[in-house]
Amino acid sequence: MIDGLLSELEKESTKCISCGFCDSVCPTYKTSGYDMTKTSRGRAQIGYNLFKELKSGEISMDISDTFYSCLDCHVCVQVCPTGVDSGKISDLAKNIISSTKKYEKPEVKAIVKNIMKYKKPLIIRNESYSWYDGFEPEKCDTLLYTGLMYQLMPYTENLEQLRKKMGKKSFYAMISIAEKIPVITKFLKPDHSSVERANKTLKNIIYILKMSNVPFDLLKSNEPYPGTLLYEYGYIREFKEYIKYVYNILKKYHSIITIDPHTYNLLKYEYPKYIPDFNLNVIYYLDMVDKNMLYKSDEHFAFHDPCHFQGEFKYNNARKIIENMGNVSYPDRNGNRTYCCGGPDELLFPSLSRNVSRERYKQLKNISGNIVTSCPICLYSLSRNGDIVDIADVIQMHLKN
Amino acid sequence: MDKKILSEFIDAAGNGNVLYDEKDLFPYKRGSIDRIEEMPEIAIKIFDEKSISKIMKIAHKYRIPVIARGGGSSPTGAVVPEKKGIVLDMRPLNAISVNIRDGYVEAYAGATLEEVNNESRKYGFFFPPDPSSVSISTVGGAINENSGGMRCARYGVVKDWILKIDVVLSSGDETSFGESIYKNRGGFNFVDLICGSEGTLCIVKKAYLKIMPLPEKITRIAGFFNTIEESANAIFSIRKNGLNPLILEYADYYGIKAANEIKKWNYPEAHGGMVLVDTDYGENYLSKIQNVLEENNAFKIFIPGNEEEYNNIFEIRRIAFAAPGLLFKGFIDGDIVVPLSKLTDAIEGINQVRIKNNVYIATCGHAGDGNLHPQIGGNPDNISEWENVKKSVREINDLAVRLGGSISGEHGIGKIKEDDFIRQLKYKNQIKTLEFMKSVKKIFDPENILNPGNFALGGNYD
Ligand SMILES: Cc1cc2nc3c(=O)[nH]c(=O)nc-3n(C[C@H](O)[C@H](O)[C@H](O)COP(=O)(O)OP(=O)(O)OC[C@H]3O[C@@H](n4cnc5c(N)ncnc54)[C@H](O)[C@@H]3O)c2cc1C
Ligand code: SF4
Ligand code: SF4
Repeated sequence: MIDGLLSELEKESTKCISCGFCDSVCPTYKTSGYDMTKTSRGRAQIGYNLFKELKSGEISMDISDTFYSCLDCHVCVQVCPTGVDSGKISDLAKNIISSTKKYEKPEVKAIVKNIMKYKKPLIIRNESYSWYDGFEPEKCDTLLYTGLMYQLMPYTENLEQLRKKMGKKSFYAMISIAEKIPVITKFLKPDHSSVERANKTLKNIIYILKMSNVPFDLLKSNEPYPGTLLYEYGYIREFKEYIKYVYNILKKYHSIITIDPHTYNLLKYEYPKYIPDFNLNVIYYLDMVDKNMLYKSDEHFAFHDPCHFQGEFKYNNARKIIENMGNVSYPDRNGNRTYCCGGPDELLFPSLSRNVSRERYKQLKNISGNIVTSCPICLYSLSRNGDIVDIADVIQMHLKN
Repeated sequence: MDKKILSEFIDAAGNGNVLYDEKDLFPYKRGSIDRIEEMPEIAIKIFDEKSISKIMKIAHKYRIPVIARGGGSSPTGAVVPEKKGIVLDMRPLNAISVNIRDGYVEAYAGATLEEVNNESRKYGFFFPPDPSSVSISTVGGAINENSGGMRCARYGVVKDWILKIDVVLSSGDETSFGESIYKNRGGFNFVDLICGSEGTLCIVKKAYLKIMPLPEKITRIAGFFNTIEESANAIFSIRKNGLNPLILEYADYYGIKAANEIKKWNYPEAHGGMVLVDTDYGENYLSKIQNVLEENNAFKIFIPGNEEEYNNIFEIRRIAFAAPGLLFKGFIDGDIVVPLSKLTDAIEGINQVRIKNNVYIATCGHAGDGNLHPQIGGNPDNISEWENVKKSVREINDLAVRLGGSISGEHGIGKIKEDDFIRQLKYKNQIKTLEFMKSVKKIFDPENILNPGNFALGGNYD
C-alpha cells in the first residue's frame, strides 16, 4: 500500500519548482508567524523529501505538523505554475504517517479510536438531539442525513478551553488516557449557546425542506458519523473499514440528502471509490429548495465560500440561492481562491486556526456586517470573531409566506 | 553552532525567531528551480527592524556568513545558504505606507511587490516593474536582483523606480543611499550599485519606491503563429511601427502546451508560439496591434471577451516560464537578453540548439525588451542527460553574447551562471568589471560575510 502512496507522492511533489507562488495564497503561512514548515511550498518540499527518505529508509524528522496543519483548501493549486496540489501532498503524507505509524499524533489516535468504537469522534449529549423534537419524519426512501457536523462543532470549543486550563502536558496525558478509554470524552460538555444555535439551524433546514414539499426520513440519535475525520486525518485503511458500517445503514435508502459540504463531498465522491456496489443518490439540501418560495430583500450580504464547494467538485448553488435573497458581495479571496475559515485546524492547532479565522473574518467584515456561509465548520470557526449566519437561517427569514 | 554565539543571536532577535532545528531549517535550503541546496546553521525570522543591526554585529564579530532571504524565488542559486551560515528571513518585516503627496511608497524589505501594489492601488497608483513572481518577489529581493518583468519594456526595471534605500552594512552599522525625492545628484549613485548586487554588499532594510497613477483601461490581445519566424517578425514589426504596448510577451509551443495540460484548456498549441500584447491607449490602438499581428500571418487572433478569458490568456504566459517543471525532475533557467533587432536570430538559434542537442527547451520571454527565458529540462540524476542540459545552456548563453547581448537580463548570476558570466566578460573585453566588483565588495564587506560564494565574487580578493 505504501508503495502506491509513495509513487503518488513522488508524482505530485517532483513537479514543485519551489517558486513560492503558493505561499502567497496559503492561509497558514502568515498566520503561523511565517513558519516555513507550515506553508504550501514547505509542504511540497518536505513532501518530496519524505518521498526520498522513505524510498531509501526511514523518516528522519517529525514532519507531522507540516501536513496536519494543512487546511485542505486546495487554493495553492490554483496559482501553482506546475499544477502542484500541496493539499493532496498533505493528504498522502498523512496517509503515510498513519500507515507507517511513525509520528502519529496522540490526539488524532484518540479520535480515530473513538470513531472506530463509538461510531462518533466524541460522545454527543442528548441536548444536541433536541432539534427534531416535535417533527415526524416520513417513512420513505429519502433520508435526511446530517453527518453530525452541526452537532459536533459546539464540543470543540470546550475541548480547547480544557486544553488551555489543563496546560499542554496534562492535556496530552488525558488524551493518552482517552486513547485507551475513549468513553472518557462523555464528560466533555458542549458550549451551550453553540448547541442552541446548531439546533436552530437544523430545525430551519427541516422546515425549509418541508416547505419545499420534500419528504424524508430521519435516523435521529441513531445516525452514524460519516467518518469525515478518519478521511481527513489520512486514516484511509480505517476509513475503508468504517464506511462499510455506515453504508450498510444508508443503503436502505435510495436518496441521501446531506446538509454540509464535507459530508456531501465525502458521500458523493469518496464513498464510491471504496464501496464497489455504492448506489446512493447523494443530494445537497440546497438543491431541493424551491427558489420560488424566496423573496429578495434589500439586505447586503458578504458571502464566505466554503473551500469544500470549490476546487475539483465545484458546487455553485449556495451562491445562487443567497443571490436570490439579497445583494451579495464577495471578498477578494472568493470562488476557487477562497480563504479558508481555519476550522479544519481547530482540534490540532487551535491558535493557528484562530489566526486564520480572524484574518478571514476581517476580510468579510470589510464588505458587510451581514456575513453568511453554508458550512457548519465555517460557521462555527468564523463565529469566534463576531456575528455570522448560516444560509439556512437566511432562507428561513426569506420565505415568502 | 557554539551555544554562546547562539544565545547572542537569540538575545538579538528574540526567542522563537531563531531556528536551529533541522526540520525548521529544511525549507531554507534552496531557492527556486535550480536544485542546489545547503542546510544553514541557523535561520532568523526578522520581525523587528532593529534586530538586523544587532545580528550583523554578532555575525561580523564571529565572521559568520549571512544570506538575506526574501521570497526565496531566485532561480540562480543566489539565495542558497552557506553551510555554516545564517539565513535572515526578511519576509516578516513587511510594513508598507503610501505617501501620495510625495509620490512614493515606503516599504520594508520583506513586503512583496504584490503587497506594495495592493496598497498603492487603494490610492489609484501602482509600482510598474512586475516580475511574474510579484506575489512572492519581495522589495529586498527585487532590488537585489534588479528584477524586470512584463511592463519593463515601457517602464524600465526595478532600479529605475527606487529613490532611496535604508541599509544595514556588514559591520552592523546603518546608513541609507539616495533620497526620497525624484531627482538627486548628491554623490555616486549607490542605489543603482545595490540594485542587482545579489545580497553581497549590504542588507536592504527598507526602500522608498516611486509609484505612478494606474493606467486607465488595459486591453489585451494575443496572436498565434505557425512559424517562429512569423512570431518573431510580428514582435519586431510592433516595435518598427512605433507602437508602444504596455506589455509585449512571447510564449512558445511548449509553454502553451504545458499551460493547456495543467489548466485543462485548449488554446492553440501553435508551433510558432503566441505573442501577447497589452495596451492602455484604447481600442484604436488595439486594432493597430491586431493589424500588425495579422500582417505577420497570425493564424488566430484572440481578444478576451470577459475577465476569466482575460486572466487565462495571461496565465499561459506565466505558466510557460515553468513548463519543464511539469515534465522533468530538473531544469535550468535561461535569461538571455539580445538587441531587439536580433530577437529572430536568438529564437532561431535556440531552436537550433534544441534540434542539435535533442533537448527539451520551452522558451518564453519579455519580447518587448529582448529578454528571453529558454528553460531547459532534464533529469539531474542522469549524468549524461544533465550534462547535455548544461551544455545547451552554455551554447545558448554564448549565442546571446555573440549576438551582442548578455547571459542575464533580470535573474542575475547567482551560483549557476558564474562561469558563463566570466566568459561573457572575457569575450567582451570587460574583465575589469569583475576586478572592480571585487574591490567594491571589499569596501562594503571586508570580512566577506554577505552572501559569499555568489555572483562570481569568490572568496579570494588578492
Ligand atoms: C516562476 C518564476 C517567475 C519569475 N519571473 C520573473 C520575472 O518575470 N522577472 C524577474 O526579474 N524575475 C523573475 N523571477 C526571479 C525572481 O522571482 C526575482 O528575482 C525576484 O525578484 C526575487 O525576489 P525574492 O524576494 O524571491 O528574492 P530572493 O530569492 O529571496 O533573493 C534574491 C537575492 O536577493 C538577496 N536578498 C533578498 N532580500 C534581501 C535584502 N533584504 N537585503 C539584501 N539582499 C537581499 C538574496 O540574498 C539573493 O541573493 C521569477 C522566478 C520564478 C521562480
Ligand atoms: S507554487 Fe507550485 S511549484 Fe511553486 S512552490 Fe508552490 S507547489 Fe511548488
Ligand atoms: S491546501 Fe490550503 S492550507 Fe494546504 S497547503 Fe494548500 S493552500 Fe495551504
